[in-house]
Amino acid sequence: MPPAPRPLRHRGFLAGAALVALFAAASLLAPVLAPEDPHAVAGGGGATLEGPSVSHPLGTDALGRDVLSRVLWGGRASLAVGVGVETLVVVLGCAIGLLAGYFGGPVDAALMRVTDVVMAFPSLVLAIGLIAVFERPGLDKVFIVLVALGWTTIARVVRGEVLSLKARDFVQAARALGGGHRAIMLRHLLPNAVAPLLVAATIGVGGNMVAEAGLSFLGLGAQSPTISWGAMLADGQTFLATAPWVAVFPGAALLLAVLGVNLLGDGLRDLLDPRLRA
Amino acid sequence: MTRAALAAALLVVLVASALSGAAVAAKPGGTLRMVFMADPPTLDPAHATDLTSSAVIRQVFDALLELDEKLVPAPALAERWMVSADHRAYTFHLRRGAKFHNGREVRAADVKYSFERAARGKRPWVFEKLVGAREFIQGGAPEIAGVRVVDDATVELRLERPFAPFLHLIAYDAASIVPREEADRRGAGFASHPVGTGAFRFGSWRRDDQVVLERFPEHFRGPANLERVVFRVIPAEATRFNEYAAGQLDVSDIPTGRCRALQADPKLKADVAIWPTLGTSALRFNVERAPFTDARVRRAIAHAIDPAIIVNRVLEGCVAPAQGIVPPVLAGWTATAKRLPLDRERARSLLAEAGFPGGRGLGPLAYHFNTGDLNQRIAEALQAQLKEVGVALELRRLDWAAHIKVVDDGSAGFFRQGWIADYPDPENFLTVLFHSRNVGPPGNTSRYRNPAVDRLFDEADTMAPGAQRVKRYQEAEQVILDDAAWVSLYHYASRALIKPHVKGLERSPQSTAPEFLAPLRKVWLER
Repeated sequence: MPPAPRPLRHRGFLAGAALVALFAAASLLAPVLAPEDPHAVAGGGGATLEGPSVSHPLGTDALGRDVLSRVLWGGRASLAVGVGVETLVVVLGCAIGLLAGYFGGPVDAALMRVTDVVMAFPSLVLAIGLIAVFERPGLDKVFIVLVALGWTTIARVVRGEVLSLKARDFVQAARALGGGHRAIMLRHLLPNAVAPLLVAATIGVGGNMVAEAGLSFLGLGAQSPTISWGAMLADGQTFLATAPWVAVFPGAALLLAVLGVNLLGDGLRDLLDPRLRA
Repeated sequence: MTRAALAAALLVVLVASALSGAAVAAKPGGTLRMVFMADPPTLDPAHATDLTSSAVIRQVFDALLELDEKLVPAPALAERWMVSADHRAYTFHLRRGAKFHNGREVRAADVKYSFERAARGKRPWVFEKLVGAREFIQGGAPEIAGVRVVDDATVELRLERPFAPFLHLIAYDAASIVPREEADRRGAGFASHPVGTGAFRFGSWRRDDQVVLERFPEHFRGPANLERVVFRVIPAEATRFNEYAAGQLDVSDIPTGRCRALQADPKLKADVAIWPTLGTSALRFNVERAPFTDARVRRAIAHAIDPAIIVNRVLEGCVAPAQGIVPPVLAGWTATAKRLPLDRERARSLLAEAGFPGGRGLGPLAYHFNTGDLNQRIAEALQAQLKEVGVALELRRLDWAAHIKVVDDGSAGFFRQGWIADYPDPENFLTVLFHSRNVGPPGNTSRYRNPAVDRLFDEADTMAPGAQRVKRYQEAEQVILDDAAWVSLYHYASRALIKPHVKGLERSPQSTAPEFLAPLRKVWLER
């Protein structure tokens, strides 16, 4: 029997892929899967801070809202910020990394000093400061700030790859054949830098999700009616001793989702990096 | 002393203690351990603006009058007083022999000094009604002409015009009597080493840790029962509760979200104390800001809100839903007002009439509130309720100082505002909050102007207390609710844990939290 393809033999990768698939499916299908309107504040009394039961598998919060429905909907903010921010970060980071690595010299020096400056700030503190500049916090502001601060890692990775690739024979050959800067960068350098780029971007998604939850926890991210795991954690911390499910379930969802993304990233690195190949 | 005499003396002591034990007499001695959430900013009555400071000040100082359990003015440093026929002159006769903690007797000149000192402090409005007070406060006069020392034991106060709740102002802690020599000698240091006439004198104050008060044995009413009162400062809610449960505190607050659970807790349910206080939590509209200029929009929102959801869910049923603006516990008040009832159909048709069928064209409305878990939850509950009639709320959360600024300067159109009485009179709720002369920061943040309501207030404010006066306020209150300038949510209640051995703590409607219960001189510990 021929051995299974390599990705299917990598346990971390498989576990990560499964968690990410579950998380993505739950978030995308939240309108179908959620048993209740996540905002519904039903009438009557007695149903607040209710423990997990058949009608509310993950219990209810202080307003009597169904925690399961809110956890499912909360995944959407996490997914949107995690993937959305990373997409823009990759575009921005690749552009800067390619330019710096390919042209070298003063262009490289200038771009990398900017990168150093951005990286020198503690990013969460800087993010809090930047969001304070906006009159009203919100998920859109989180998006802008995370993109503005997040591109540096990708830029560094791409630049490093480009520095080593551009001295290689196939690049020299392309240049000798009269290839323009643009063609060399996009057709020869970038495709060869995809492996480390993919790994860095995947890990970045997890970082964005944690940052979004952190900012929402502080009240600087998603604003009601947008549901975010971070905001749910903030609401639930008051009841940690008496109604732990209000905080524990969104916390666990965040933990598993980020764990999944990171396992996936690690797995990709193992699978794509030739030096780690057994 | 012979042995027989000793035995006889012992017997007398035993019998005496047995007798006093049989009666419900207070037992002297012991330390009462209270807790604050924050350090008091000052202990100087002229500079305090917060309840924590007042809680200490009320024990260390006396005013000419105090409010009894029913919030009726009663003698304190003044043993009696007379009001002139035109209700503009009040003559107070001081108690003889009342002493400051430094041993000096209180004289009429101290009253004049204290009032003038406090009038230039942080709560000048307490003294504003006195003749010549405005000139003095603005620096144009060397004294308040309306405060006259008749003789060592008599002081006369004259008002610009009659003001029915004036005696309540005189009983307010801002009007505490301070000894001139101590205040002058200590200057700013008086705030951290106060000297008054109170049943307890200042002991020590370690910032952010604790304030200790000690019994003043020469208090004019005789020594208090408690030997010592300790106010500890513990900001974390969970820590306060744990200390209480471990027996390290005699009184504490009920942690958020624990009210229902504690009422069912076999060990602690006997300690739970909930009593209504003089405050109302509400939503207000700035009627000068579109779309709230249209009373139909305001009424639609009022009809879409069910305070019962907020009371039962967010507040665990530990407060009472409000109909009116004035809390029913106010002495001499009969609550007659009716809020616009929950009626979503009516809300929808009002919106349609106003040109916003199904909420279309209204856009998201900004709702302003100040930071805090409770306010956040209330805002989310409102958001969910208004969504049902098609109105989208955009939540605008600001810290207290920023919130009060947008409310005061009129840039907020729809916002939360609570009101806690400074003194127990309907005037302090209605005239202050809705008279057109108080538009803006003085209290009428709805910017509500209604000449008919103004007229009712002008009449009632200067009338003698009684049914006729109350009737005018009631009438105005209903007009305001029908105009939906204000949507009442619930009346505040104090929620406390009090150990069963603490006796004599008055649960007055003005004690907005257990640590603000006054006076502690009546408290004793039964061990």
